[in-house]
Amino acid sequence: MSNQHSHNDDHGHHDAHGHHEETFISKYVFSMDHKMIAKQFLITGIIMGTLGMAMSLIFRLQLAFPDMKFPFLETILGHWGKDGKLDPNFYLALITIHGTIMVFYVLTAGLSGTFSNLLIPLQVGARDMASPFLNMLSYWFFFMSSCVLCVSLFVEGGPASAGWTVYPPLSALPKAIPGSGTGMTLWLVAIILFIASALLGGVNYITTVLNMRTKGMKMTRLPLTIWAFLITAVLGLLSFPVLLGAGLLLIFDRSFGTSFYLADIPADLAGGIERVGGSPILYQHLFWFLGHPEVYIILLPALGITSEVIATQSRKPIFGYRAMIGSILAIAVLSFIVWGHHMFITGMNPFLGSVFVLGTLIIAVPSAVKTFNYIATLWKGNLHLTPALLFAIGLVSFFISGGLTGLFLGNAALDINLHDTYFVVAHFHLVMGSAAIFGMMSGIYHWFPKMFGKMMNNTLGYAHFWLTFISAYCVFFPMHFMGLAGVPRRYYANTAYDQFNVFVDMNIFITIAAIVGGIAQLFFIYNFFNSIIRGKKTVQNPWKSNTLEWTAPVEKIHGNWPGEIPHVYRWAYDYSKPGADDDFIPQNIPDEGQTDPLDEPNATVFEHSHSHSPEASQKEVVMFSGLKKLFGFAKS
Amino acid sequence: MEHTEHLEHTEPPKDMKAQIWKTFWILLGFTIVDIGLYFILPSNMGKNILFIFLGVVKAYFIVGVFMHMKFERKWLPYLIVTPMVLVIYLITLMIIEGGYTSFVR
Amino acid sequence: MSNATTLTAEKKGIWGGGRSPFSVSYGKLMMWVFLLSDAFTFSSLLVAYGFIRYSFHGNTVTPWPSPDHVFNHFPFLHGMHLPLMFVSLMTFILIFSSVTMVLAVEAGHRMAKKEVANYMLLTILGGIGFLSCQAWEWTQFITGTHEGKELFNGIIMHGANLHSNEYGPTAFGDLFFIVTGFHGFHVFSGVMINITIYLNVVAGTYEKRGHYEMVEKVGLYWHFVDLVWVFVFTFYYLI
Ligand code: HEM
Ligand SMILES: [Cu+2]
Repeated sequence: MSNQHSHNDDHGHHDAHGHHEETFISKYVFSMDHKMIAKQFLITGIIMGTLGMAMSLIFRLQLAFPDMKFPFLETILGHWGKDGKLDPNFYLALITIHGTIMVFYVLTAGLSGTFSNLLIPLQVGARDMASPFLNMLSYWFFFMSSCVLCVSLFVEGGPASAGWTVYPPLSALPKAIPGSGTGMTLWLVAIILFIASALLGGVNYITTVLNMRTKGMKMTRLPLTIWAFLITAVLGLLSFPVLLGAGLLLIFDRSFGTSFYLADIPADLAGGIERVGGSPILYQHLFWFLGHPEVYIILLPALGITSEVIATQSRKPIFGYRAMIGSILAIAVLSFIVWGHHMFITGMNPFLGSVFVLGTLIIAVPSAVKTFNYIATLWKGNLHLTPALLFAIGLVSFFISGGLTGLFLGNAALDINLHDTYFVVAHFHLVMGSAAIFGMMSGIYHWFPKMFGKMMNNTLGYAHFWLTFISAYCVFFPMHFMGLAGVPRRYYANTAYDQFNVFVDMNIFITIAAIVGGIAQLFFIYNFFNSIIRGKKTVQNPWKSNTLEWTAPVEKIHGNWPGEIPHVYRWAYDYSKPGADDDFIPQNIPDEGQTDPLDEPNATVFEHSHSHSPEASQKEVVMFSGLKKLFGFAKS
Repeated sequence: MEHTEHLEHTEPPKDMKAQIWKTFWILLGFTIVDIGLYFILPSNMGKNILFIFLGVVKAYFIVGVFMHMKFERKWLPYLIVTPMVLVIYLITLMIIEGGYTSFVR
Repeated sequence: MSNATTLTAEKKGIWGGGRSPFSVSYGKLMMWVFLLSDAFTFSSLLVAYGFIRYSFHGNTVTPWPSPDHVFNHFPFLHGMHLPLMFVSLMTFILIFSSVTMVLAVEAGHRMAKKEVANYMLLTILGGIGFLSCQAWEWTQFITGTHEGKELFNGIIMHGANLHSNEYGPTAFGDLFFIVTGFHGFHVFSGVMINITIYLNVVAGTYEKRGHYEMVEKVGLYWHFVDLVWVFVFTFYYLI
């Protein structure tokens, strides 16, 4: 803690930035600069993502061709792929680690870690995070956690194999299955390090947004990205500790013979000690108290990025700014009270089930508000179809198709049929997997110039988008039908069930689509690294965007702005404002005669600002005012 | 220099010392009341609720006076205290669930 | 946004950027936010306690023990039935150390270095006192009674460990160890932090810096530990 304080004093030196002697280590490795930490998160995330993707391809091969032999599996997996056959235990391990990597390492740390770090100080107008030191620690905890998880791939018995939710008793009894041994222990260690990282990051994000906004940056002028990151950090801060508690109890059950989560397990099965009196349902509740907010921790930053990209690239103010904030807040609150919808048929009290059904179905309302607002923003916009905008639109598409199936699953009665089938797999891969990855990609394409001072190659970007978009739908859409027919998830092979033979071809199709999707990511990885080295140099504000980060010079400097931090005079969405010279007015530009950043710029023009073209038809105006009434609290 | 925030803080009241000691006696009093009630009242749900209520009152004094919350700007208490609603929700549900577990066993 | 102009100038300033809306430094805000998340960690443990305890409701084979049959010892008073007395002493010590802590903070506002140092020292002593009491309490709990209890396999069980205990269900002992242990761990880290800060105070670090905010921050942490104890005491010993 004394370090925290010395940083306080460090800030004083920012005025004299540029005078530090920076070594390689302090600049690239143990950097305390939020822009560098963002890049570290991103690149670690990309590496982990590649690993997770590779795992998914291996188990997809198994699902499509359960009887075939692939000699290369023995080369890469050793005894887990003897004679080219994937070992069933290792299949379980792969899906577990795939889920863990994707959910926590790529879509939590890689997404929110990257963009919160990059954008929060730049967009609120701060020199750096509140505590750059804790920020650095946050990355290095994440890094250690990634290392531990990777190490767990190589231990005797294989990595954790209880599914990414690690339900006891598989996770609580070291002898239960091969993957319940050392691999499981390392999984828990990795997750606890991860929680430490998430909490350090979250504390910093919240403090920075609340305390360190530049003059004139009212909460109602924050870009929606920042709102999303702020609420994401709050969600993490309140839910990760519960997973910490759950993990602690699980570690005691595993290693010290307690029985918090174990009921009626005789001594010979439980390592010599009889385990009575606990309840596995308790673990599920604690886990999903994190688990459901976690899916929004993943999704909200992606939605925030989308808001920003859609408004900028369609050159229109975001539709319903306040409704957007309201729906983020509503989602945040609701996400904490619905976790039980993951447990409808695990033996939970049916009365609680009905409480959870109610909450779950209500969540659809703010989600729908967001989608309608995106569509209304895009509507009749002057669309600049950059790869970033395409990915943002892709997110909206996936969010709709995946969200609709959430409504099916949210009904406890339907869930009796659908739970733990491929329907669930389809649901969460569309709404969380694909949508959030698309948001992340959108952010990378959009802010790449800010991060690296170079432009990415657009042609490769388009190829990446279309291949990924089509293959993602081809992979996940057919899964709905398999799920409706009852194909269970997490099964190594379904050859034993004759009624599933109809899906043999569909499985092959899905696997081929997945391989295409995998290849598409190679385009991205090549484009990403190649552009860092050889990309075209960017101008300061390539997208003609309003937010503050583009007022900072391309050269990255410690402290972000040379001289004074810009003051903010308007919200972030003054695009295509009638009467203005340009079709964008950055947030730091005062209106004529405006001296106090807290004064409102000439407010009446907003009435018309949402229609891009001056000759917008009467019909359009009518429709918009109707929508506005519908949402009541749309920006006035 | 934008880090002027450091100089800002809410002033403690003039009679802070007196308030601290008053709070100490209150906390002590409540603890003694707790123990007294423990032996006097019969065990039942009402007694438990009473104890939780007394605990919350003690928490109010610790957070309010010792942790200075009473003297901070109103938004800080909102920020910190509102999320506790979620804990109450979680605990309520889990107690129901625990009861149900005993019922199905 | 035009209706925002109706706000008073004063209100407009609070959230207008360029300053903290709460008038607290970022370090203190950070500490508050951290404590909020820590409160959730403790809550999750207490939730586990509530769940498991209720799942023993109406269980007549291994009923949940009543605390006054378990925690009824007092040092040097052997063989006497003194339920709750010792834990009340512990509570008193912790509350009192909270008082000395807040007095240190108050002295810090007046820049009275000597007073801050003295009160910090008292706080540290209080913390160590509490930890020692807890060590004694744990020892009692682990050693158990003379008579012990016969388990179903005929072995006489004395005291408690993580696998079984003589007082009641296994979970009773497990939860006792984990909840008070986690709290004790917090007290321990608090004492360590307090020692660091005490040394800094004595060395005059904060005197030079011009304010004693660091003492306030560790003070927040220390009171939080006290706060958690209030609930541990309520749930574990009273109910
Ligand atoms: C309209 C809103 C949504 C509703 C009503 C909804 C409902 C549900 C329900 C009821 C389940 C449990 C299905 C089962 O296991 O039987 C589920 C699973 C899941 N949902 Fe959603 N959901 C919604 C949105 C989301 C979002 C936005 C995300 C992520 C960003 C998400 C991620 C997941 C995940 C990861 C699972 C599966 C977890 C697992 O079992 O491994 N959902 N959803
Ligand atoms: Cu959920």
